Amino acid sequence: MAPKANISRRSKSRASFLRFTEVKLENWRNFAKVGLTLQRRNFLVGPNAAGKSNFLDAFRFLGDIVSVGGGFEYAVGKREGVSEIRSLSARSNPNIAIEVAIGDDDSEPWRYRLVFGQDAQRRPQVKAETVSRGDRELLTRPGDDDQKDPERLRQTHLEQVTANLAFRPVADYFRSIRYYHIVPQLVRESDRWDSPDVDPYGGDFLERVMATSVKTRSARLRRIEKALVVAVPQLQDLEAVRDGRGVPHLRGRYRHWRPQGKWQTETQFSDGTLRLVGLLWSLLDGSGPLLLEEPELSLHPAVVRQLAQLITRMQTANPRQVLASTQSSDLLADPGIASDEIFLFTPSDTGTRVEAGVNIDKIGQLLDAGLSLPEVILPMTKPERAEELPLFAV
Amino acid sequence: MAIRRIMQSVGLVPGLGLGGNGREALLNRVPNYNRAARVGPFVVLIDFERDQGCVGAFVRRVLPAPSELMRLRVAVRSIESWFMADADSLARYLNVPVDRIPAQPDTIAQPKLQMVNLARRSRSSVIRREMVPREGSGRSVGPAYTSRMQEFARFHWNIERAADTSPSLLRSLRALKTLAECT
Repeated sequence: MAPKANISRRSKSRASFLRFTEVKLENWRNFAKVGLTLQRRNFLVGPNAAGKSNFLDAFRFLGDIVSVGGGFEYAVGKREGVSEIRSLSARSNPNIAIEVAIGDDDSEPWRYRLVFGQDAQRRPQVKAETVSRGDRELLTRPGDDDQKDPERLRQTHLEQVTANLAFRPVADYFRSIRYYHIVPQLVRESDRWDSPDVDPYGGDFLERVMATSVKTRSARLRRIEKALVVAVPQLQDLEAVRDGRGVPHLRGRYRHWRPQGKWQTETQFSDGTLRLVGLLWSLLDGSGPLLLEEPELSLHPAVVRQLAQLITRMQTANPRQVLASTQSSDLLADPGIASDEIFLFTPSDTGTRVEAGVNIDKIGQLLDAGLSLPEVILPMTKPERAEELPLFAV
Repeated sequence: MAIRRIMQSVGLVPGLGLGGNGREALLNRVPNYNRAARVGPFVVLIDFERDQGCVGAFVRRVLPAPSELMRLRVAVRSIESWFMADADSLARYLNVPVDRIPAQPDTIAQPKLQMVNLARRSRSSVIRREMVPREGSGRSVGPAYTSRMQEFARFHWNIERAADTSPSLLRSLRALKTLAECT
């Protein structure tokens, strides 16, 4: 009898993969107070302008603090200052707080909390920074050093290699956060983004593709080709190349009636094709948390219906956490999405409230009665008077 | 995917694939498909599920006046029964002992639940994680259950072997053969 493959070893290394297990926000943008338990897959659902992007921005903020050439002041400055970031409903407490727990299935979770505001000169200032692991406190600020020299409060310890040794994995984890929101028009205008920062809208997507090592890039594009065969059957041979001016391009060969198909570049790809390539690339790029904005945009509904399962199956080999905002009933119709993977964003006069689906009794009751998730959730997040929109034309 | 392979096995060429919106929607559309079948052949595959009574009565209720080129076939009690009918392939795919798979799949009351429970006993942690719903998730299937069943249907399922164990599948294949013969 053939020896059995040792599966247990593999699953152990899989289980030791970190993810955000909790997030708490206070006075962050349009949220007065949020406290959530996160899963490996997370779907953020809510009407337009409810704040789903603002929620994801809290994670990008943490990533900016630890990014190369970044830092706390950079992260705040990029968002135009504390006043811009702070919730409008912040009355008694002028400070903003972000707290996250990072853990895996095996060991004790790390907890990082940052409270910040402004100093007397309206410059961003760290008001409190604490790191703990289990019941061990690794950092508590402000400490004596901070009292003696308040200038130190212009930086987090998190961003300083000399100061974060005790909790380096937290900094490394924040640095591994990836955000993808490919806007096809901007991918095509690849020369529009001059800043060294990562373009949030994908203008530097092609540069990021080119920056990957040739071996990795080819392997990924090969895999993406195979997946595209399903969604865009005419497209073969996906490549990334630089033109004569050094500008990066994606090109693909479409099967026509001609025996040698014709090459097209991203300027001729449809929005859907570009977004799908971007999505598939993002799923392969990195092992840290992946933030996605409405992955369903421009994609055929039949493709969208498969996205939740695609994410799960990718997580088998690469257990990275995914947080995705969505408004798609096709995506949410997946029967495998658990109610604790859904987070409902509900705007109110006192800021947006966020609730995990699992805590909303009505959702459980209606699911038990055989209704599908979109049947239950989308009416809860629908703009109240959506039916009146056509009257705009009158 | 299962329906395409079934059709191909009797020599039918699958064309436009409709549905994908759940069983209720499919049931509601049967009269429309029946009308469309006046001009071209139509195959509808639906799970019997928890409908009481016998399959014949169910079909007569849903489709009282079938067009000549219409075939409404019913998986008893759901497609999972037909998958379990090919016990060897399924046992290998799910990484479970073959004797765990029920011998007469047509008689299983809740085939989907049975399939999930089979996956629960898998030696593969990947199968368990993907096909079995998490405790407290509120769902009846795991996060990649559908994808796994599609994969099984597409690459591993042996329809001829399954028809040996499932009389309802055998009947469906015979009914579809008659469609292949007149188109």
